[in-house]
Amino acid sequence: MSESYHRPDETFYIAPKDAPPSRRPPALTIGPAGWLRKNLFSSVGNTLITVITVAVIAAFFYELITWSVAKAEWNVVNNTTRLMMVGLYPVDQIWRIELIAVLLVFLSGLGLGVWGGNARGFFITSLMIIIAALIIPIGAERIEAPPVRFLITPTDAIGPMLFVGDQGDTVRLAVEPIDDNAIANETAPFVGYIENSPGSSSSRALWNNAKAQVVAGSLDLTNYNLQLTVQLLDANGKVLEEQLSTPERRRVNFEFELPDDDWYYVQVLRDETGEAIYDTVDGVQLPIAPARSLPNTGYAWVRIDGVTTMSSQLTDVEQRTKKYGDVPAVQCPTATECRRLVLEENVRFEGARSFKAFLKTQLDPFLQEIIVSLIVGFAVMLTAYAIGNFAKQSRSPDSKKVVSRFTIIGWVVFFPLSWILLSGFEDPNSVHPFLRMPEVAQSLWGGLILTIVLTFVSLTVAFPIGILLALGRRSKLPIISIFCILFIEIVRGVPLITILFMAKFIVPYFAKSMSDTELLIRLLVGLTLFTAAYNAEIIRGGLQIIPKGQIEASQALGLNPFSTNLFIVLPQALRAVIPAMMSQSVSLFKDTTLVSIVGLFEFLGMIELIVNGQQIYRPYQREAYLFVGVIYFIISYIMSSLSRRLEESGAGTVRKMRKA
Amino acid sequence: MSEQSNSNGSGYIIECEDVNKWFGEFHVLKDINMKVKEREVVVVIGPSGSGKSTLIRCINRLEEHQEGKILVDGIELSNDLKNINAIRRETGMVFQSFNLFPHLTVMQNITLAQRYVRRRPRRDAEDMARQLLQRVGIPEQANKYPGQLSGGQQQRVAIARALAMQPKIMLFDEPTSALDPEMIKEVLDVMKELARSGMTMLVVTHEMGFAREVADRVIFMDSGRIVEIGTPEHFFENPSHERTKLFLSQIL
Amino acid sequence: MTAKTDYSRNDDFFVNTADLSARRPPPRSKNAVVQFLKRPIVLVSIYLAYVVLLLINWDSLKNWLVDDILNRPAAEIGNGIEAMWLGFWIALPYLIYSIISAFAIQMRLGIPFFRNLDFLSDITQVVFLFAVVAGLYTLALNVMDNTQIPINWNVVQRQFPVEVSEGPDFNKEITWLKDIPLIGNTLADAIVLQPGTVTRSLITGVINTLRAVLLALIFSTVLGVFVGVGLLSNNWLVRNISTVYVEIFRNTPLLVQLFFIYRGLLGVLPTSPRDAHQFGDFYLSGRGLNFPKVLTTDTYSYFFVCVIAGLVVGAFLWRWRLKVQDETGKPANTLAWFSLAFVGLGAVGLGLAFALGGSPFKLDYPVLDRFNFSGGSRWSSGYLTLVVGLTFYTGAFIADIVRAGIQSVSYGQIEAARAHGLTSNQTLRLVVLPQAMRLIVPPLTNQYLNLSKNSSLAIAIGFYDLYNVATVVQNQTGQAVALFAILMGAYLVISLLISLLMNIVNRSLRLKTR
Repeated sequence: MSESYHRPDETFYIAPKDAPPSRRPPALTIGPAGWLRKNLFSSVGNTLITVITVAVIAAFFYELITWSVAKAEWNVVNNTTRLMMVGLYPVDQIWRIELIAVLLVFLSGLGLGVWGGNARGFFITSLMIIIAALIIPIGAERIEAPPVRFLITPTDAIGPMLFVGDQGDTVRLAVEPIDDNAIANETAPFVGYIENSPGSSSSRALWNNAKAQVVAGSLDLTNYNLQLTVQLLDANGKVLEEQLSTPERRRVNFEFELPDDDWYYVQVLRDETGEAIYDTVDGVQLPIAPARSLPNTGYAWVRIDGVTTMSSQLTDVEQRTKKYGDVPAVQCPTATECRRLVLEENVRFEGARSFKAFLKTQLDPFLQEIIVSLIVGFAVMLTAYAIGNFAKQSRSPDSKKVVSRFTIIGWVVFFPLSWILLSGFEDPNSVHPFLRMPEVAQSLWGGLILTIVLTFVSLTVAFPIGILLALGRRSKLPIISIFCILFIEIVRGVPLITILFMAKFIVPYFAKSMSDTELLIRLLVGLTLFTAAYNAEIIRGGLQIIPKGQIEASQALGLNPFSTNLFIVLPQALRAVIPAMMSQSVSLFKDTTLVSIVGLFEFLGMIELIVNGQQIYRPYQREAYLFVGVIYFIISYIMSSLSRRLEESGAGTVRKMRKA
Repeated sequence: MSEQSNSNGSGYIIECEDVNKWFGEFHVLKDINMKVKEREVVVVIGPSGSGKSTLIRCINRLEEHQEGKILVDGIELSNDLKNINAIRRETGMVFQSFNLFPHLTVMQNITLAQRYVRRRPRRDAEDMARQLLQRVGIPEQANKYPGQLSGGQQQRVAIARALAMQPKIMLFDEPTSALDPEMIKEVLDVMKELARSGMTMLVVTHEMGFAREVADRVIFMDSGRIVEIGTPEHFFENPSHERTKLFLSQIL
Repeated sequence: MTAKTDYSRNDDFFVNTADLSARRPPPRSKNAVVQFLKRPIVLVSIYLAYVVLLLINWDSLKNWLVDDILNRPAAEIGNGIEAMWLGFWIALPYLIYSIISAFAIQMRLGIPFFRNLDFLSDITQVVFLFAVVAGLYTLALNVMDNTQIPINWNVVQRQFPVEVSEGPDFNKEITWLKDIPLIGNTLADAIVLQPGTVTRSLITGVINTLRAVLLALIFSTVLGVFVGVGLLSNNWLVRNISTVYVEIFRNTPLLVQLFFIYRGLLGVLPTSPRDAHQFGDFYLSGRGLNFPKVLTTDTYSYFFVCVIAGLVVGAFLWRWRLKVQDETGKPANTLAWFSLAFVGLGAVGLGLAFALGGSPFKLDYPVLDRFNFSGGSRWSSGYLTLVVGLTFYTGAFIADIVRAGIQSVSYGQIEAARAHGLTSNQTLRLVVLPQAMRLIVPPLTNQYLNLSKNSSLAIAIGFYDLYNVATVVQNQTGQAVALFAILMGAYLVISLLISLLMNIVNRSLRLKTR
């Protein structure tokens, strides 16, 4: 009877006493399958898009990963970390920057501990750790130079290769005969670090040539009879040591101990007693027969460990020149010529590298670079956070007050202190011996630390100027408001680079006393005015959303315009524009790259100096700019997601305060 | 006290003579003549857009009038900085939308002007604030933010904030219009108590019950002019002007 | 009036019997002369006349103080005094005015001047005016004194060889409707010395800037709209890829992107045209992209006229269909009718051209010479980088703006439209887009402005845009001040033009509300 009530065509209906049990939704609408259906395969078109997209992504990532693991030469990054982070800042004074970084991390940790919300903390923590890891270049000097390899052929040997060494360093050379035709089909020999020296053509080209001959059958690598002389020369070209390799098919090792801190050369000579006879076959020059009694045939790798060649860590040349004197001119016509020869005869490593080799030669050096900083940064951060959090949760309200007051004072002191730490004292003897820090010229500041200085200084200085401009623009007094409008609109209407060029070229004319102002200061003025104009517009937006009633209420209470702005309008307006100001900060952070065009070597400028100024790194532009891009991305992504979170949570907006 | 402070000795604390005001070309106040005695409660009613709010905003110079004379406690309203400051100190104002400062706690809302305008020590200002919060019936809310209070509570805080300046005159600009019905009463109660204590009050409101019960006189305004002034009894029972009759017939 | 008299006798009760109609606001002063003088236009003209007089007599006025009285103080102090002197004279009328009016008020109303709000505001402005004039003029005088090379505003007329690697070929004559490249450019291809006036170099720069900006503007809009829609796609993969794209390009400095493209991607390509990568008739090398250019022939005019006619007829049909829809309710299908007319007449034109003498177009292919390409069109690697970089960078911002705009249309709107039976296409076209556009256009304008300003980064990648050319000229002539003034002016004009255009768009989209 009751069954019939379930029939839909009934006019009247009474539900059964017990409600039917809930059923699960159809299997294909829930779970992973449901998710896939809904998100990827909801329609034919959608499926098609999914398939195409997957294919494109797969291809892209395949290329990217194979390239970055097997081909990219990340040593352009690994070898120049210090330069990128702190520029030409004197090595023995880097502790000052490290101190600043530690202070920065400590104060952030403390602030997070005392006031921080948990979710926000995650972002700020990671930001700080990364900055710290990058700024504290404690590990920078510890990297061992990767082995240097050369191909020795019956026709080509190594001319003098320049390197620097400290007293007691051991230089190890190994001559590794290539006596297996099978090797010719592998790229294995190119795993590592390939360089060429003056007097020889590129190892890579030679090797390709040889391979081609092996394949063509015109060259037999098993026929090995290569006799080499390995020489160590001092800076004046005097042979310090000399060893001979035997023409046998086995690995021969040599070891030299360096007598002094100086420049040295390594030179490998073929034994001249055996000179091959050459003929050109199909346009390829071939040693067709051994000449005299000692036939000089065969190919070998010469591998050199433990030297820092000029070309492998070239960016330190300035430092080294300071320590070891000028680059010697022995065996080159002139010093410049010699240097050019050393620098320019390099080829890019093109062979594929195994993943293991990637780990060892590329990733490991990088990790070594940052691991110490990372650990120190984490430790400082956690300690500070623990202190702050402890104070926050402790029962006595005083301890929180003390710690938060300390943090505020710390931040206030931090900026001028950092500036003093960075610049030092003109006359170090005039201050307390404890503070005796020699002056570091601003022209030596560079790298990421300069980027951060530029960002922080112009942000902090631009902030009050922005407020004044915004208030001025809204002023009832026409002359003041017209002036502010003109200033803001002109600055916003022209490209930043124009303003920076103005700052560089025209500001010195403003007064005689300004003509020798440091470039950094001039550019900071330009950046600050630029930021102030943009800030002014943001703050004006904040001022506009303050209801008129707030001002009226304040006036009705008898507060004068100054107090009204100070106590009522600005606190609310500024709170409302925090997210917008954050994104403006991101924008400024990115815009600081422009100072590299006008001659400051901040992060990007430094990279440019490295990859364009130094011949050895010129083939590695992709790696360098990718790295720079990633660092910029990480920092600004964190900043902008912070601003987005602030915006979404509505923190700082008046709306939230209004909500009951 | 009133006779001493009142410089012209007329016994009126607010005097408007031929006050005219324009917003651009729009004539909002037309020949307003009105006087309020000390300790008197005057209610201003009228349809919206009749210039009621503008009138009381002119009295503490939130708006500037262009013609005529407004005297508050014998001080003429003009561009004289001293006079403006003096008048703002004499008058407290309560707004329709409360206009509490959302970024400050209730306590800070009440003490801010005391400390920076009256230059009272912080402790005195806080004592005063606590007394006033007691008086408006919400002593326990001192450390909350306005956003955490109900509308009625916010309006009572606003009243306390105005009273903290110890004004001679309180101006109310539709203090209950933005409130839910059940909250209106708590605000009106505070206002009634204030009226009983002898405060001079000029109230713009649509609460006819309040006008009837508390007002000494009622002013009816329409399209920028004062149509009728009378006692509540006379005004509600036996209005003289046609416009008043029409208005009352529509709302009652 | 009678009622008022009654009331003034201190009556507490009052009934208004007078009929008070609205009056115009009173003049600020009763005196007719003062009234005339106080009109803003009169005040401004008097003041301007005064300033002109002042400037005409400025030399003698200046010499009187600086030379005669102070006996030529040292350079920068002298400049300071001279500037303050000017500031004083500029601010003087306002000062006198404010003192007179404050005095009048003090006489009339007894408000002492130091408490008179009007006077206090006036005097603040006087001081501000004085400070601004004095400060800026000091700087200007110092700049004029300190520049080694005197500022020469006629620098633009100088004959000066400026080496610009690409730009319009001023030697080539372009005849109307003939030899206009439809696709491609008329630019001088090889690196050429362009001897000519500085003006000509600057014009070259402007043209280079504009052609990069315009192309990037179009491309970035298209890309931005696509990605913006992708950000809202219901396909998880598309949505997330779009997000990744937007985040990466928004959070990396443009300059890094440009360098990556210029040096990391194009820079590693072989520079010799012989080794260029070939895609059909397109050749990509480290020097740029060479591609065929489409030229017009003699018969092009027939085709051109027909296409224009197609446009006109299409527009008429469009309006006619709208009218038909209004009157009969039949679907308008405006686009279909328009395309019909346009394509139809275009085909007629094409046929006409072929009938009367051959194709209206001809292709000019790039041909490899011994060292370089001849013929065809070339986008230098700098130009390519700039366009691609600006496109991707700005595209990311535009995508987010488009997303935000579309998202801002509340879902209720879409539901309401669907509930009324509009198709999803109609919903998008008639309900969502009109609302979204209002939110999209203002930030989009900002992005266009940013794009035009960011084009100045061309200097970093060796593309001769306006900014780069100006820098070159500045280096050669030393006229930093004059050139930066010109440069700033030019960028302001470009910014204003974009703002103006976008404001027109914005106005047409504005919601009519009460």
